[in-house]
Amino acid sequence: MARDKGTHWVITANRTDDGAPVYVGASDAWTLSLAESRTTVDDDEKDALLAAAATQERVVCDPYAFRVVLGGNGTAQATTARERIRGTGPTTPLRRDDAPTPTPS
Amino acid sequence: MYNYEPQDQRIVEERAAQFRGQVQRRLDGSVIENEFKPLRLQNGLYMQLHAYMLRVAIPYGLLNTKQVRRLAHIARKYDRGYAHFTTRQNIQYNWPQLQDVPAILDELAEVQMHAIQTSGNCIRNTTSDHLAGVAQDELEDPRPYCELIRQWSTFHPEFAFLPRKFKIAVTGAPAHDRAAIRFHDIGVRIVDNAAGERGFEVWVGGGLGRTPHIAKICREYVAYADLLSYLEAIMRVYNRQGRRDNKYKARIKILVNAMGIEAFAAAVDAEWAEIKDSALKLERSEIDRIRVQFAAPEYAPAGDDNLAGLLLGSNRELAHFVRNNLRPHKVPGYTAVMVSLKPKGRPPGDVSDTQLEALADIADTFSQGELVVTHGQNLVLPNVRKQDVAAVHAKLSEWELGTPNIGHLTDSICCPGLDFCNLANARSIPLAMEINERFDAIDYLEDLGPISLKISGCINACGHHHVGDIGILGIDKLGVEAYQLLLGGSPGDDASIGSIVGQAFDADKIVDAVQTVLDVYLANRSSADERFRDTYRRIGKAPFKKALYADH
Repeated sequence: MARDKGTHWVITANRTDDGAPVYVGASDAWTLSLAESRTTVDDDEKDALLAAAATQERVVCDPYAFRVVLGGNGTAQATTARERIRGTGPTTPLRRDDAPTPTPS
Repeated sequence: MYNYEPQDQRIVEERAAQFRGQVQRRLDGSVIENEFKPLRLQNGLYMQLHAYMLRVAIPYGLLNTKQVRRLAHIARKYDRGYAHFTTRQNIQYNWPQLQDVPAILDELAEVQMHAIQTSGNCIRNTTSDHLAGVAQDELEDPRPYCELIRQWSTFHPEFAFLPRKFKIAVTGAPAHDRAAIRFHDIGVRIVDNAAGERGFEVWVGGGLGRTPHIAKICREYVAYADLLSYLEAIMRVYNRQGRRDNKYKARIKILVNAMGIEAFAAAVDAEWAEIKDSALKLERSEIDRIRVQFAAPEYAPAGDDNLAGLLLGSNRELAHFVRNNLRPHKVPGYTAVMVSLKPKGRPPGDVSDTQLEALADIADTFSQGELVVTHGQNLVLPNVRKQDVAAVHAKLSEWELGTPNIGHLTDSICCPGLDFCNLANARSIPLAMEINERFDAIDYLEDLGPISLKISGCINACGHHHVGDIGILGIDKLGVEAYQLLLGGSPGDDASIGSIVGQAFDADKIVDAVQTVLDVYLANRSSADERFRDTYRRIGKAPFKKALYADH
């Protein structure tokens, strides 16, 4: 079991097929959910995970490690606005609803 | 508009076919990301926060309705049913799958479109005045020259690996710069010399971003026949002497500033002397070959209009639309109609597939089948009879496209920000929407008068924050979004760069800060006719700073 004190890291990348953010998961498979990601406080383990991710060129692009904190249930939570939004998607509306607005009288 | 010659068509089809092979090799694993990245960027395909983003070129912002319908179809079939108009007259798709991009490029090529020159260190898509061809104050339609620049610059072998990206803007309006030529790497203004001969005034070294600069005049008069050789001479000096050791110092503005404009212009002249009488010399017949394609359409006789009546009529929304969204047209009885893509509750510049199709229908019925994209992320119906304005407004309003806020506070320019962009430090769209929500009372906006709000989510300044009356710059404070406030910028003939007022505001305080700025303006303007910019220039930053930081 890894130590639980220190900086917690998660390995992430963008998926080659669609660019979606993905994270190295508990079973080392890629997951779309930050909450399901594998965290480590061990720098050597972080480097090894990153090196392994870098070999998966077909599946993902530009892997990197970023800092997280552990939530109450022990799952990773982003510490920056960037990783929070990257993990959960745009905070703005996307396509407008098609219902036409009424013509002004 | 310009119709492709066979070689134009061949070029875009061949490029799409090449990219199909490159994507195939990426997907079968024989090409890795580091090898693929420069190839995809040469085809406008970026990797953003959540997905790929495909930026499609719209040369000088001009679209025919066949192209608009194709853009709608692509949004529906390959994306999430919408697209986003950018601050450089282009359009972006935020959610394409990699395997679909070759098919998208094929579909674009079928309607004479592509994604070339929308990324990378090349000469980017040339921009222009969104009222080009119809403006009353225009000396000559600049678009044929934009098209010449496009043809000269596309795949120019010398300029495929410039020190940094390179942006050119052209205006044909001598006294009303709507193309922000002073904030481009090269700005070109059509002028007549003392002898009455048509030519160009060439500005160089303008730009926003990390180090904003107002361009300087490199040469006051270049004869029309020498346009391309003079531009090529500038490009050669830049390509040879521009810095490549530091990407933040690689734009031509840094070189011009380091050399001084006199030395830079002299270096250009020396280079120009070598190539002025080369094959780059423009024949009148070559210009005319292109100009004929931009010939004015047949304008059907316009009947009596009722715009004065509409201004006073009971439909206040329409009255505000007539007051704010119409621009003078060179043909009597006609007007250019500005279509706002800034309704309340929507991200600035976004359009859905069905809105695009409705716009195509409206343009076919009322505006000779053309639409123009503005760098302010709006659209123009360039050829509308004044007698049709009420009908056009009614149709637009059915599709949430009739917002009468052009040139007002809620007509903000806004980059995609941290909701989408891989470079951003802070979100910008939610701010624009919050401001649109807070200041939605049309009478208040009318009282404020023309005022520009420009929001960028990072120092790269895609939201043009340096040249807004009010500019907002998103920054990253240890992982938390914060916002700097700038005042006093202007993109046009009275160009100025906005000045940072003081320390940054937290995300939940920045809209209040905008309110404070507006309050100070309203309390200090000399009359209801004094624009924000003029008040700011008269009273300076101090009263704004005092009010903004009163508690500090």
